[in-house]
Amino acid sequence: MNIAMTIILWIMYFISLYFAVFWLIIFVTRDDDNEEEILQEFPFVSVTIPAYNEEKSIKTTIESVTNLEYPKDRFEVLVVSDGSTDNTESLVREAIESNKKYNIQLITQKNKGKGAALNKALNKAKGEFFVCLDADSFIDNDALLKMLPYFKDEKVAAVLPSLKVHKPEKLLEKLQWYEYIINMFYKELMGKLNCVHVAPGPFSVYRTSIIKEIGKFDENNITEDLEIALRLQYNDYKIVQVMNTEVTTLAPDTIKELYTQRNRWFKGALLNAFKYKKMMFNKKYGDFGFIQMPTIIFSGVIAITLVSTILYYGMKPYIEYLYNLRLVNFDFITFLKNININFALFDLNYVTVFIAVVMLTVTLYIMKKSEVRTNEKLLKYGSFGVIVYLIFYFLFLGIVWLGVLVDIARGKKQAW
Amino acid sequence: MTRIVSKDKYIIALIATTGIFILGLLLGLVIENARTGYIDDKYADQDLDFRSSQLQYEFLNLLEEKENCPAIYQTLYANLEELEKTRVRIESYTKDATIEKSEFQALEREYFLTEVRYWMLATKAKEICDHDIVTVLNFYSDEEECPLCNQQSFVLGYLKKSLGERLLIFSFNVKTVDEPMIEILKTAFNVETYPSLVINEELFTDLNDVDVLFPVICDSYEEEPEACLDWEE
Repeated sequence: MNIAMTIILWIMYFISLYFAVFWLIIFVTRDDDNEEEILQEFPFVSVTIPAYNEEKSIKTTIESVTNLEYPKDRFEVLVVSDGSTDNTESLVREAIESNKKYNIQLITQKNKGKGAALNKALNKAKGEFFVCLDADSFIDNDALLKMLPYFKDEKVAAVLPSLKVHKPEKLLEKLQWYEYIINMFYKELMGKLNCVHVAPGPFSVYRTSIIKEIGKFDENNITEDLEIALRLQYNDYKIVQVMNTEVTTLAPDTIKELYTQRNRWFKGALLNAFKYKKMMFNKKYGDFGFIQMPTIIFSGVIAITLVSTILYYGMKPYIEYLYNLRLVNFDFITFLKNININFALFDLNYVTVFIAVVMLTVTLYIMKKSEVRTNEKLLKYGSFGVIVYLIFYFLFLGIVWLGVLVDIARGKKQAW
Repeated sequence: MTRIVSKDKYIIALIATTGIFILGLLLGLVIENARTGYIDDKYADQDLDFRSSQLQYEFLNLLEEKENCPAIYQTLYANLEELEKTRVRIESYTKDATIEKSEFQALEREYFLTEVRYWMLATKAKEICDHDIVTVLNFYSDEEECPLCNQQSFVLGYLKKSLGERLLIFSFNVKTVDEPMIEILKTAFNVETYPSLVINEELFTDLNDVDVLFPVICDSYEEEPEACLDWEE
């Protein structure tokens, strides 16, 4: 490895470790505000379900809203069919018929994307609070009761629930379950510094007046949930992450679907970070400008550098070996028959091993704390998934980042 | 809303991260020291092994007792195997070294000289005991100067695995070792480019695959090893 590459790698190690240490300090020095507030009155709430061909889950999603522990006359459900071509709309109509005591409405529009669907609902919404619930997500019955009290602070524009993967079965879903658990812990810490940078689709509660005031949802954005959160931060509002109520969401169960989803997320993060670059290292935006904005950019840079290096230096010897076999008429049997292991303990690259051990320790510590904070057991689905997650998942995410880089370089247009 | 920058936390995180890194670097230094000590110990053992082998051959030469030749050759061969392992190891340690690079380079030089001494001893042993062996001198350089050297080493590795103790390979890194003896060897065998192989005093330049080298080596034996017979089939 040449000197320039070594220096770049060391810088990446340093930045990664710095971010991890910083958030651990935030965790250690946090002031826990565990006293749950009880909702004194029931403001009117508009729950919006944007749906595009969601026939598999739409009924269950509506059901989870009607099951909310909240007075029936104090909320409305607006299902926006974004040009669905399957049975979504007829299923919604059936749900309206069978839940007449609830105020459920179906709004239809041509396929214009989630941002447009949310804005259409926002124009009709009567609620003081506007909730976005993805059609593939399911909520705890007490979600509104637990989340609305946080709006006591006038500057709070959005409150987000704890988000988990819905009943993971396949390994890929379990890997995302681990990821979400760790992300929730991370987002809780972000919340301590008012640094939350994304309001995910599953049951984010917004103050309607603020969303209207800042110009509603960006209809042309591929990650409108990230964009609206950055815009709220840009306009100096607060986003609160709560841990005492949760929403579960269906996770992609094929590599292709997961790749497409993450590619869109990462691309959106990058493009929106550039859109709001004014906040970067800007004192006016406090910690958000100093730690969160750089994190959005650097996480991509770090992932691309580390994964490229691991793939290049990890695979190079094997590719060379295969290429060299032509010089010996591909007689690998002779090599196999005479395997000679030449290993001494001193042969290990101890500095790299040290960094790996430090990183692994920090990761395991974060995982441990994550399970406590999210009230889960990481070994709930066995230890195999955890090991695969630790070793391979970040490699996959790094590959997605590489894909994002290639797409941007090729000027590829991103559909939602 | 007034937003704050948690300066104190950024500074603490910076100090802690720097501390962890310094700890890592110190560990690296300790390991480098331990590695030089380890190679030093290996060198002392191997130097003793060399002197023992040398004395054994001189003794045989003096008394002309050739019945012990095979046993003594076994020892010489085992020593050379060990020497090769250490050469590969020390090269890797030198690449990794940060602070103690010069110490590793000095060790590499010592090993280079030992390798030359072993080659001379093997040549002499061949005469004394009529060992039916072939010696190959491999002159190589780093990847930057010689991108094909690794491929040549791969082919030599294959030959070594095929022919076992009937083939002795002595590898000389001409780039990293600053030693006048290299120039003497290069001049003696007209080595000007890398990779270069000297097989029974015949020079082979550029990359040579098994189809070229196997026949050359096999023709040099009085009694061909099994691998040569298999090859001819």
